[in-house]
Amino acid sequence: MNTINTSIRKLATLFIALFIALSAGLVYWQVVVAQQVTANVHNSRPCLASNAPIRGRIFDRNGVLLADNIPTQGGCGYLRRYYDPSLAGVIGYYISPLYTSTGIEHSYDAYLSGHLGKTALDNTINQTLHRPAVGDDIYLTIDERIQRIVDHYFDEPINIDNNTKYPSDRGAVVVTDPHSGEILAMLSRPSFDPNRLVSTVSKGDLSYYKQLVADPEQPLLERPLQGRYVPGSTYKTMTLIAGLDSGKATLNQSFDRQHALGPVFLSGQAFGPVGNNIQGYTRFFPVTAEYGYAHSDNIIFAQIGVQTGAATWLDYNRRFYVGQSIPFDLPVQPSSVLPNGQSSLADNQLGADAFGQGTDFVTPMQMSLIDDAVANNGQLMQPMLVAKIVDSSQSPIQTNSSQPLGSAQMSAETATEVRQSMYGVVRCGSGSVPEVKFITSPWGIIGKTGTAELGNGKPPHSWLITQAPYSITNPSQLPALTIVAMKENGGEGGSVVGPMIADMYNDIFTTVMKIPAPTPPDPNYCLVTKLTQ
Amino acid sequence: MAGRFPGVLQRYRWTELGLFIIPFLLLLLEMSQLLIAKADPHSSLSKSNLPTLQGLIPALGVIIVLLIVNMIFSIFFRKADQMLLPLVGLLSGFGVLMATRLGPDLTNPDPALGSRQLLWFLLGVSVCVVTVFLLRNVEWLERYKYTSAAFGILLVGVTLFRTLQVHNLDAPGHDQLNIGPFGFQPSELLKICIVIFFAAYLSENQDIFAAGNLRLGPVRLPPLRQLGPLILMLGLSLLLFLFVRELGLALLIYGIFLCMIYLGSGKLSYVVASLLIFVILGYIGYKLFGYVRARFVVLGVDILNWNGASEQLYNQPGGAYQIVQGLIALSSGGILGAGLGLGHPAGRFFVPVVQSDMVFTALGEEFGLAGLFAIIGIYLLILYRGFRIAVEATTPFTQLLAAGLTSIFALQTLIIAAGDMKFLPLTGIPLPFLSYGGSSLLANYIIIGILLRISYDTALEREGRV
Repeated sequence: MNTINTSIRKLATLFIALFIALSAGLVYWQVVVAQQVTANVHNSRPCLASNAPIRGRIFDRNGVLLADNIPTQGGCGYLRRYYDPSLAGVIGYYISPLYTSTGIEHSYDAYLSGHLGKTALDNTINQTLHRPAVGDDIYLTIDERIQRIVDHYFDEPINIDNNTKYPSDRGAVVVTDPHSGEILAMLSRPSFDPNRLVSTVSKGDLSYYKQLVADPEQPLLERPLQGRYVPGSTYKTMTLIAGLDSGKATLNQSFDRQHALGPVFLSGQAFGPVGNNIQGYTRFFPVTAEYGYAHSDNIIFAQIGVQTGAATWLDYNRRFYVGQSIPFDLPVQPSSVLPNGQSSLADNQLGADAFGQGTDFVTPMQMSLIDDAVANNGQLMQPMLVAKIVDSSQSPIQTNSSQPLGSAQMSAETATEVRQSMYGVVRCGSGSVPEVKFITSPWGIIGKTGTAELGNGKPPHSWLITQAPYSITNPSQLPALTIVAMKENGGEGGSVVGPMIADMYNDIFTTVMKIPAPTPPDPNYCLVTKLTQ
Repeated sequence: MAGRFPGVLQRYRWTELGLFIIPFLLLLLEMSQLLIAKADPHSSLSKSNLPTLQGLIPALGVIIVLLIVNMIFSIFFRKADQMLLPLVGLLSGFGVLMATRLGPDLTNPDPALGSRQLLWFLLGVSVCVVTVFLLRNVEWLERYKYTSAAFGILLVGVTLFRTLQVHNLDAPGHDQLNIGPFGFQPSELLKICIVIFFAAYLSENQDIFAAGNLRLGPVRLPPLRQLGPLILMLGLSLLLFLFVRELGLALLIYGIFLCMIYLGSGKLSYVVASLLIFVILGYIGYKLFGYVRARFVVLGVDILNWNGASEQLYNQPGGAYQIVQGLIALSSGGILGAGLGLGHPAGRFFVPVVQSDMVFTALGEEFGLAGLFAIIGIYLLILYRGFRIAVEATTPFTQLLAAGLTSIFALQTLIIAAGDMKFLPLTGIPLPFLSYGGSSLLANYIIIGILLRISYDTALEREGRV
């Protein structure tokens, strides 16, 4: 009996020792290495919909939902859902903290994930209370109605003749309110499906992403902000502004036959007669600078550029942030007019740059700023994409108000004269052909065409910078809207991009802004001003 | 019997009733916590499945059952041990709560899991009471040791037969005996049969075993005639269970064998010799059976420095998935735990089959280190009471029986906890009273019944002597 009792005591002691070892094991797993173990990739707890941070939503200016979250099926936390793929480049995509994001998702990540200010404090409390972190919501300046109109008309068919008009599904559109700097719509084509990208990559399937990266049409390139193109004749607007505002040129400045058709020699290089654009129908000389702008005469504008001088011309470029980063909610590729490593321009270089060829490489956003300053009577407004940021209870955290970007880029008189010149383009000049559809539009569209020659037999880029509504009888009334559009290798600017812009204005003015059309223009305007011969 | 009733108030098991208070309060508290957690929109609890109105039934059910048992024992077995029932009652109560909480969250949601565990608990406690009533004389078990052994062999045979019918040996529950709507695991009864047989056989041949007159080098062994039946019984169980692929049960049975041999002989040399045999058997098993090797390979998964090899082990079928998820759950609990209903111990992407083998990790996640320490403390108290009953018992057989049965609890807890913590291969052994499972609960309550009866008999005999 004693033997058994002794054995029982010894066995009990052994068990106690083993249980103490067990407790030590628990301390090891639950305290000592707990951090490392819970950091394991296969720990789904931080991924749970109930634990995962709820990213802020993105709305348009009127509260139309553009991006929110859906719980993932078998993945980690929430997945972003986007409601308008045409905004893929603007809003960007967000997959998870492990991947790079783009667009607003990237530049406003700190707000959207709730890492800033009072929201960050709230989220610390949430964490303590086992509640998920909630990010701030963002309201864009985009008007989803306008965005859809723009997206719709970009694909409007035109007559492709493979001579002046080429098929192109690549391009960019920027619609802004020039008086506030708000971006109302921004389109980049071709685009991609952000939902497909997010859902495939989040599952570790990179095939769609790789396909997008390898695509020669560059669907991931946000063309309005990141695409740099030869601007063609639209850049004559910059030269006109510089010349008029510095007083080195006037609209009435006359050019005789030799100086209007060329050749003229700048730094020994001949300009013209190729590229004067007016030889076929211009019988009476001299012609004015305004005539040159309306009919897009390269020779005249090379001379206006040179007479303005490189220093002054470059100064006006700088006023519009050419060569610098444009302050904006998204990164914008700086435009440039200078050859690599050069800080000034020889006359022949300036001449070519002055009519938008040479070494000009600009973004559609850059052209939009030039257009906007003219429409806002000389003062450029800082471009805006984010209107306000609100927290999860919809109380505002940050409200962006429009503000001027630097001091006035040009005088009101200059701006008025440039608008008048743009009117001449549409009424009497290169924009007046019926194919452009501006002349028949009741909305007083004015603008400047551009057909950017690329050489090497490539079809030129098609450009238009426009504003509306404009009335020649009431020139002090500023256009409400600007649209800048371009198609890569599309051919002639006016006839390729014009029709879709005319339709965009028509829909925006009738269905979204609901404003009355301006008074119909004087049919004899071109004859009176001698802008048509 | 009528004479017992008048003094019932004086003789009531007040100590037991008093000891029930804290477990009852804990159960009610945790049940309320579960209901509150359910109201939290961010809790992982599946709202659709956990009933609101019946929410308190699991806790109240356990409490009522325990109060009735308290009353029955007060009337009929006043002198039976008063600490065991509050201890196992608390554990079973938490078992029912965990089943209630985990059921709806399982990969295949089973909202009735808690109700069924409550039913099993009710059955278990009834079996316990019946056992105490039936065992009028514990010595009776001693006489039927060969019957017990035969019954054990029969159970093994049945399991083997089932196994031969099932082709997928890796499927859980392939060793179940389906009686009615419930699966029954014969192995649970087998462990009791083995303890009864060993206790009887060893107590009968105690002197011979203590003497040990078979010399094998420096090791003295009992004569072969006495050793034979033991080895035969053991070898049969072990081989069969290695065949049925219940590594955990093999470990448990061998552990019981070691405990019983040591208790019966008091000789460490026997244990050393048996351990040698175990190592040899284990090595043979390791070489022969691929699944044993696979279990050991899984132990090599490196969680702290996750690498390609870990990933491969994690993804292979029958690999490290379960153990890694279990450890992540355990570590997520930290010191204080997430709180009942606030962790994520179950379901897809977490621990898939949590309710039986992995309930330890679920408890660890929601109650934390503090909670597991408390649970380990309760197991130690159960061991203390069990061994105390054994020490106080009056015959070698009852002493061996009580100590052997108590050792089952200790061994089971150690094997499964060590498995969950990746110290041993993870094996299908339920955590006593806490894991979901009817057969396990029934078997455990039979053990409690036997222990209570032994303590009652001991008390009566001592009182008689005085």
